[in-house]
Formats: sequence, structure tokens, C-alpha cells
Amino acid sequence: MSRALNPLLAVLVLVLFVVSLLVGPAHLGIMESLRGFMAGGSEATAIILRDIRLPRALLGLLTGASLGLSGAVLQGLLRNPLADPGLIGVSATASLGAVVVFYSGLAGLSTLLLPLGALLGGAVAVVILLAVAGRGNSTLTLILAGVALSSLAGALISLALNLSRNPFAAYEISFWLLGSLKDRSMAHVYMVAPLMLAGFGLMALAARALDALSLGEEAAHSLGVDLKRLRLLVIGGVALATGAATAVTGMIGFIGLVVPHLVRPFTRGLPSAVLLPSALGGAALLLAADSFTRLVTTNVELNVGVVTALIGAPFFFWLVFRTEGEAA
Amino acid sequence: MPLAAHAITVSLGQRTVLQDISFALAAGTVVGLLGPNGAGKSTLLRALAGLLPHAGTVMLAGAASAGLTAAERARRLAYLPQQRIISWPLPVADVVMLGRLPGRRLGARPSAQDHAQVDQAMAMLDLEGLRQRPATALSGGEQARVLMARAVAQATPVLLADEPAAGLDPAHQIHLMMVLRQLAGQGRCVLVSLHDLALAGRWCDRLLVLKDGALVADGAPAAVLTAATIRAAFGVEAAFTADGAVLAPVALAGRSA
Repeated sequence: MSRALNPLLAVLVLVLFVVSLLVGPAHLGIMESLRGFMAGGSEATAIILRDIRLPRALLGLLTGASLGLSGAVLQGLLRNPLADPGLIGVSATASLGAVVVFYSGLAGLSTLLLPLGALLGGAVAVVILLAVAGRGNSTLTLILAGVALSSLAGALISLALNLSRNPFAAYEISFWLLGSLKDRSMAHVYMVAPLMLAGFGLMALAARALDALSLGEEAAHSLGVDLKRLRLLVIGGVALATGAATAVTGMIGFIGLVVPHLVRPFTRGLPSAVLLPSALGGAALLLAADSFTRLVTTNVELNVGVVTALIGAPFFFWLVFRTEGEAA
Repeated sequence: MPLAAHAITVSLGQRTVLQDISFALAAGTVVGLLGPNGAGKSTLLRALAGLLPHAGTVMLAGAASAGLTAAERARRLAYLPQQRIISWPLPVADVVMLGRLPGRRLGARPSAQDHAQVDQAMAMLDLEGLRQRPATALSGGEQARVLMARAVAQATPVLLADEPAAGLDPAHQIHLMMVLRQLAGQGRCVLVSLHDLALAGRWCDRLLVLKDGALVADGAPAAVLTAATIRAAFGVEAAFTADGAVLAPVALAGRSA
């Protein structure tokens, strides 16, 4: 089973990526859509596919992979299955950065100012976390710093909502925080893809050390793991991937927490073996959830962050009880 | 000498936990580290493993340990912590294989030699029947053997083990000591902290006794495990066999048995 897992998931991602290209408010047939990519289709179809659906599908793929992989890496670092990419505070501060852009009214100037503001917000958190990781000797300190950053960013977002004199700004902020892949352009993809890929690279470098860490920090050290370097790799990688993901999509919850749990039973269990399936599984889940938001027709299109939380939370509940049953 | 410690001093805050400890260990020997709770045994092992900042120097096969990278040190010295942690339900064979990480390049699959070392370590610790079992589902004693096998599979010239016999039944305690003797027979140097004086006296080549952070005795078991030393270091009276080996501690010092 563990050998077939990655190819199976890769095929699933590919299928869901194509599905994501095929669904949307403009009801295009499969052949018409395909022609839209080639030269033969009508100009409108080409525009819908290349400028609307392709960036959406690409961001679904990259964001889902970022969240799934980050969750798996953090669970490995903390040796705790409850770790979530939001834990280190980068997604909260990135959201704060975006909120500041909304609040100041700058969001109207360019659609790219929003993700830029979010990236800046995430970067502030990264600088603080790396400073903590660089001097501290404890993973716990690092996570507590992340929790503190999250709380502070959450409080400042609430403050912005509280003080907002323009109800539309408050509405826009709340709506953006729900997380969505709608109406993103290729410029968004070009902005965040390099950051996410760099994050994937850093996390891949941490894989082996995470395996050694299964036996605790002291045993990992005696297996040649430089714990400080490991923390820097993980914080840097998770921050790049989730910071960039939050910057373009807002808050999308539960993928980073749930996907590693979903795939772990199909692997032999070493943290390194969970990484690639988590990235693929995250991409598949987000692509599926995002296609779902476009398939169910309500007056307002559902935000994908709402859908992932609605699926994720009950599922997680079930997982917790199942795990408890096994432990007993 | 595979391992030599010169004037190791460890301070935690204002308190000096280890004071000026020096000794050298020969290849092919099992050395027991004894002392009451809080004497500094674990601290000494952790300092030797490079886990604690300390004054003085640790030499590993002639090279200063402080100058080695974590990976270089891991090829010379294996350390088995007292706290037994297995975080994920990993198959036993995979846990033992973690001991082969230091020798492997990034991304490389385990070599035939890695598999041979793992098989050997598992055979030594009587784990062959548990190969595919999730290590987290095993009993405490079985987990202790799995983690010991991990350290053995690291195949280093020096092995430091912090109370590996704790929680083992008598048969597995003796089995563990026989494994350590076997490792010494392969030319490795083993430093093992123990609480069981009879076990230490029976199976070690040499004993170091710590008390209040100082080395108070160092020598062959027969020379170290005398009624006077045991009374001074542990505060207990011991019973001895007819040929002078420790049988068991039987009473607190100063009271009749």
C-alpha cells in the first residue's frame, strides 16, 4: 500500500486539477474547454480558461500542497499530531498584513497590494521567529512565541474590525479572512509560487532530521541532528509556504491538520514518509473543495475556507475518537 | 583511547552539578557508572554526548568532541537517553534502522550494510519476532530493547547508555549485560549507568562511582564494591557472597538489617 500511495495520490491530484479547470459559472463543455487551451477555441473561452480557471486551479494545487506539507512537517518537529501550520503565527500575521491593506484603503489601488501586504505581515513574524529559533534551545519556546504572535495578530485584526468606520471595509476584511481562491490572476501565481517552492525545498531538507526526532531531541542529537538548524529549516519552510498561501487565499483551515492524519496510516509512519503524501493529499483536498464551491449553486458562492472547515472539523472529531479507541 | 574526559565541570545556574571529572575508557571494556539519585550520572553522560555545555574537554578517538560536527560525533559515539521516546507507531525494524542515519547520505536508501547492522542488532537484543510490530504497542521492557538496538545499530566505537536496565525483568537485565559484553568483545567501549550493584559488579570490567557531582571511586568491581565504599556512596549496607561479590543492598547504613 505505501508504495502505491504516492502514484495514486498524484493521479488523483491530476484528475482534480482537470476537474477544477472544467467547472465554473460559465458552463463550458469539456471539448470546448480543451480547445480554449489550444488555439482553436473562441476568444472568450480562452480568456476564461487561461486567466480565470488556470490561476485558480494552480493556486488550489500550490496552496493545498503548502498547507498539507507544512502540517506534516510541523507535526514531525513537535512530535505532536495536533500541530497545524497556523501554530507558528505566520498565517495570522499575514492575515493582519492583508487587513492593514484593506483598512488603509490601499486595496483599491491594485489587486496585488493585498498579497504584498500579507507577505510583509508574514515576513515580520518570520523575522521574530527566526530570532527566537536562532538563540533559543527549545522547540517549546519557539511554538509559544508563535502562539503569542497569533494571539497578537488576532487581537489587532479584531481591533481593525472594531475601529473600521466603513462597514464595507469591515465586510471585505471578514470575507477575505474566510479564505477563497476566487478571482485570482496569474500575477498572484507568479508572486507566490517561487516562495512556496523555496519553502518546499527547505522542508524537504528537514525530512531526515524529522525521522531521527521520532526518538526525542536527545536521541536525535546523538544521531547527528543539529537541532538549531532543523528548527530554522522548518520555521523557514513552513513560514514561506503558509505565509505565501495565506497571502493569496486568506485563511484556509484544517487542511494542514487533517491531511497528514489521513495519509499517515497508509505509510510506514516515519515523518519523512508522510511529507510527499501530505503535500499531494492537501492539493487534492483543496482542489476538490474548491471545485465543490463552484458546483453547488447558491446565491453567493461559498468560500473554500468555509468548506474545508465544515468538512475538516467533524472529520477531525471522528479521527480523535478513533485514535482514542486504538490507544485504549 | 576511544573516549577520554579531562576535568569535566558542569554548572546549572549557580549550582555545580559535576566537579572536575577526569577518566579515560579503553576499547573493549564495559564500564559501569554508579551513584545515588542526583549524583550526576545522567549529567555526565549528557555532557560526554555533547548535549550539555561544560568546562573541560571530551576527546573522542583523539579528536576534541567540541570541534566535531553533530554528524561526525554521531559516527564516533552513540548515546541512549534515559527517557524512552518513540513518537509514532513505527515498525520495530524502522526504529532500529534510525540508528543507521548518521552514516547515510541525504536521500540515500539503506544499504546492504545498513540492513546487516540492523539485523545483527535486532538478533542481539532478541527482537526478531517483533520486527514488524508497531514499537509503540510493545511493553516498556520491549521498547527499552528496541531503543537499545537502535543505539547498537549505530555501530560506533563508543556507546553511552543511561540506565538501559531500568524497567527490565531479571532475565532481560542479564541478557542486556551479556549484549554489552558482546559489544565489548567486538572492541567497542561501553559506558553504562546502573542502579543494580550486583549487576554492575558481575558484568562490568570497571566501575566509576559518582557522589554529589564528584568521582569518589574508580577501579575494578572487586576494589570498588567494598562495604565501606557502598556505605559512603549510597548510605546502605550490602550483603556479599562468599567470594566477595555484592549480593544485594539489605539495610540503610547505621541501622541493623
